[in-house]
Amino acid sequence: MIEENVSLPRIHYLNSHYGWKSWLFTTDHKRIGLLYMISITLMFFLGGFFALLIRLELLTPQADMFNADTYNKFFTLHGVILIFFFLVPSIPGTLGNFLIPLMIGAKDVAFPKLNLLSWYIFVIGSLFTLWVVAVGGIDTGWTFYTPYSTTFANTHVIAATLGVFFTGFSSILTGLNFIVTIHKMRAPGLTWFRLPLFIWSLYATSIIQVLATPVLGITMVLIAVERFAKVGIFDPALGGDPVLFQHMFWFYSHPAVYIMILPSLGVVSELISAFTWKRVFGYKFVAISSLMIAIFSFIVWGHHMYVSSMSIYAGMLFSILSYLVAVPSAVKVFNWTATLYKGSVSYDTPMLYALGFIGLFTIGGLTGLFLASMGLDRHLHDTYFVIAHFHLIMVGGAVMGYFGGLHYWWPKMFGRMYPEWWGRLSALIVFVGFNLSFFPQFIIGYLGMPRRYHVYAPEFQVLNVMSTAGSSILGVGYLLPLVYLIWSLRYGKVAANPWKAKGLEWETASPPPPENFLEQPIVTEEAYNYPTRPAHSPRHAGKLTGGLAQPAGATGKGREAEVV
Amino acid sequence: MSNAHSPVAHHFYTVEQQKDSATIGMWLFLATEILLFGALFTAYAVYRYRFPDAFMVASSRMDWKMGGLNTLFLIISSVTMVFAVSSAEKGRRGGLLGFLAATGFFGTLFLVVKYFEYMHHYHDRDVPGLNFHWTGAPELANGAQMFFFLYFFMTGLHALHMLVGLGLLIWIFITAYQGKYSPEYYNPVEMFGLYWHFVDLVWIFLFPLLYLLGAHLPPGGGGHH
Amino acid sequence: MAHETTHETIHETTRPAGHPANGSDHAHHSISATTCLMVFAALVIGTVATVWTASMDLGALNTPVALAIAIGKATLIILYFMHVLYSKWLTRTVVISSFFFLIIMFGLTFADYFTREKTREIPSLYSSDPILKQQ
Ligand code: HEM
Ligand SMILES: [Cu+2]
Repeated sequence: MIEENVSLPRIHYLNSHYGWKSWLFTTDHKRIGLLYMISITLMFFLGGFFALLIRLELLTPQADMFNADTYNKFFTLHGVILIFFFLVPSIPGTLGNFLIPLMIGAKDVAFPKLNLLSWYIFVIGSLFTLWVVAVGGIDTGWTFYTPYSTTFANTHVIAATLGVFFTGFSSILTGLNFIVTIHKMRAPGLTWFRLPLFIWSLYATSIIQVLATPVLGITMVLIAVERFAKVGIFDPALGGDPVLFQHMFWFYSHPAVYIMILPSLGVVSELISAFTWKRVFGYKFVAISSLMIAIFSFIVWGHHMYVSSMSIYAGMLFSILSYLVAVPSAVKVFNWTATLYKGSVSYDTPMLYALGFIGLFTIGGLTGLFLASMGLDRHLHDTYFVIAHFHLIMVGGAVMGYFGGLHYWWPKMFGRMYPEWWGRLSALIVFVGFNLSFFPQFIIGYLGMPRRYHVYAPEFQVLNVMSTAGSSILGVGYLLPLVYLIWSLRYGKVAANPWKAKGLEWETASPPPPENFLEQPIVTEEAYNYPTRPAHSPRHAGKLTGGLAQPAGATGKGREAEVV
Repeated sequence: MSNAHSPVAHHFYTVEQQKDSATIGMWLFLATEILLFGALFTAYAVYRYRFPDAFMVASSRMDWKMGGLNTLFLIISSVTMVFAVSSAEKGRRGGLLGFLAATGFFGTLFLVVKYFEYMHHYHDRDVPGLNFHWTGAPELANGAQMFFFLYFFMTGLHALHMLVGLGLLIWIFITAYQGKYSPEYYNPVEMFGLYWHFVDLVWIFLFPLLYLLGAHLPPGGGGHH
Repeated sequence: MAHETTHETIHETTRPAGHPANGSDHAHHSISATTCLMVFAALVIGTVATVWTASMDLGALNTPVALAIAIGKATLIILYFMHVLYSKWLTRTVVISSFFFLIIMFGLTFADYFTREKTREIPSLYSSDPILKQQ
């Protein structure tokens, strides 16, 4: 971070209009991004609260706090809320909405009203879910497996599936909007291979959102109809096939895990570049690998069904295809590592999250390969090993990417810096807490502890206690940013581009004016046009004099005069 | 372009950019529709593969003449829609209104026929979840019920799309009547046309897959009633 | 970026990048009345052919024939009525990819259903495993 001597612009998108109406009826993508941020933050802490209740119960092998039914509701609500109402909309809804037009030099997304509509639809879906929470919950697991969900469950399945249906619809509209925006709204001269990698990854995400989500939507409706009308579309007693449900569900939900991780991959690419002050190594490979991931993600869903009476031949096919998807993911990891090599790396908060991401995503992805091999999955399926696998990617990966991005673009969004010391501290707490929570779960899972039970064999207690301790630390790590980020809105130091980062979004004021750019930007070079020799980087100079925080003035100043 | 009827929204630069965006946006929406119906067609295929005989027998309880008539209605309404769009493109308001009305007329006819079909099935106790009662061979009962569920769900969803389409059509008609469209700006008409053709397209698959499976059976081959 | 206007590669100054200045795509969008009526005739003939072929017992071929005709009709509608024949590559890509992913859904789902019986034929699977044996 580099100290700057700047003041807030007089008019920006936050103060250009006043009153609650100017927010609830806004079509400004930046304000809609903030609306999303507020709503998903609520959902994040609600879902996190259920996680803590789960971990609390698992402190001891017996059932001492909750009975089985209550526990089932907790893990279901935890999963439904955090997957469909936090992770899926997280980065696209907040950072994506805020940044895409800024990064491509446009005034707004292609369909601003549709953008607002998609937030409202998201809110309707959330209200369904909150209603389910209020009136007694749902206990099917986030996967809604039939015939339990359709025939046996006594909880509020219909309302929950409708909630998911609505948030899916919202997700489709966001994706559609982004695809058109990225195709049609780019500034003059901004060719595809000059685009920031964040745009590439959101583009790939949007493809999945548009093509996979409708299948989830109709599947949820089928469950609701089957429950409501008592027809047996998935009920084996009436000739239905529950495994068909799994095919339809995972046709969406495997690609959906990439809806959750791809945006974070994009954020991390931006962070790596900004904090090494280098072009991302192998830019084109990293860009194309996002598209490859999006396409491959559609052909591997069967790896969730190896032990669901799916044919063993189909299993072999899906197993081979699943290995494919690891290739483009690995391309990214290798290229990031190559970027770090000999870069002038600085360890500000966003970069700490990015580095944490790389390690955890790699381990999470590799354990995915373990699970994708049929023989091993027979042993590991439905154990805590699976839980650890996907939490490494979704929490260690996707959530860390989101937090990293949030810190990185915080000064862009609000014109003020968060307190860097607290930022680093909580990044560290998150990393420690996370690893303590989930590494033990690999072991207990491998030893055979099944998921989704509120009691367990006593020999697993030590590892479970470690995991619960870790989650409490993790919880602190998440609460701290909530406090200091809100604090910084008022008291943070005024900042414009504290990272001296490149990219169109940094070329306008922070916070940006309502129309984003005072005049139409014209692009003549690619996104990461950093000086080739690191010695030229102001940060590098800062490092030589022994501090990350450089005295104000020396290098940071000239540019603000140009920009604002 | 400074035509009074061609407002370019503030965040676009040219009419063409706005129009292209709308077209791609619409096609992406239709792509989601293709996968939405596609999931149902997949379910149909799976259950047909499981219950080939039951599907055939149950399908022979469909009135293919009604289905065929409806196919014709939809094709005709698609053609009139094409003419509506080209009238709009040429700035012929009268033609636009006339062809839109014709499109709406045939669309409504479709729904009327569908209504009578549904009533008929209701009286025959063919509706799963409501009054399904199978009097044919008992081993076919499950498959037949599955067939009828898929029939009602898929044609119901299709009819819902028709209803939405007719609603949009009324809106397009009113705005066209008010003279909102011109050769420079008739995006909504064109986009609505895409939607309408898509609904036609779905029916083109529904018709043979639901109505005609048992058409080659001898009369009463279903052994029902 | 924006301020480094000294760079020599500025060509299009006012148009967004998604929109090259050579607006050659102003092309005629709607099809002629004759084409439209010919497509109409083809669709009606297709419908009649669907009913006619369905009334014959072609054995396993009934459905493939019906589907082939339906795909033909759908293609006509997409190409002519929905203008894909005259549209830009991007529209075509959207159309093609939606059907592509639909085929993936069908294909891989049926990779399971078509081979289920085969799985049961593997003797070792069903003899050595005490759990599976009970089923
Ligand atoms: C290299 C890529 C990956 C492979 C090969 C892979 C493989 C697998 C396999 C085989 C399973 C099934 C385990 C079982 O239930 O027995 C699984 C579960 C899961 N994976 Fe992955 N995975 C990969 C990446 C990801 C990513 C990127 C995410 C999330 C962002 C993710 C999220 C999940 C989730 C949520 C589950 C559990 C679903 C459930 O049953 O509740 N995976 N993965
Ligand atoms: Cu998966």
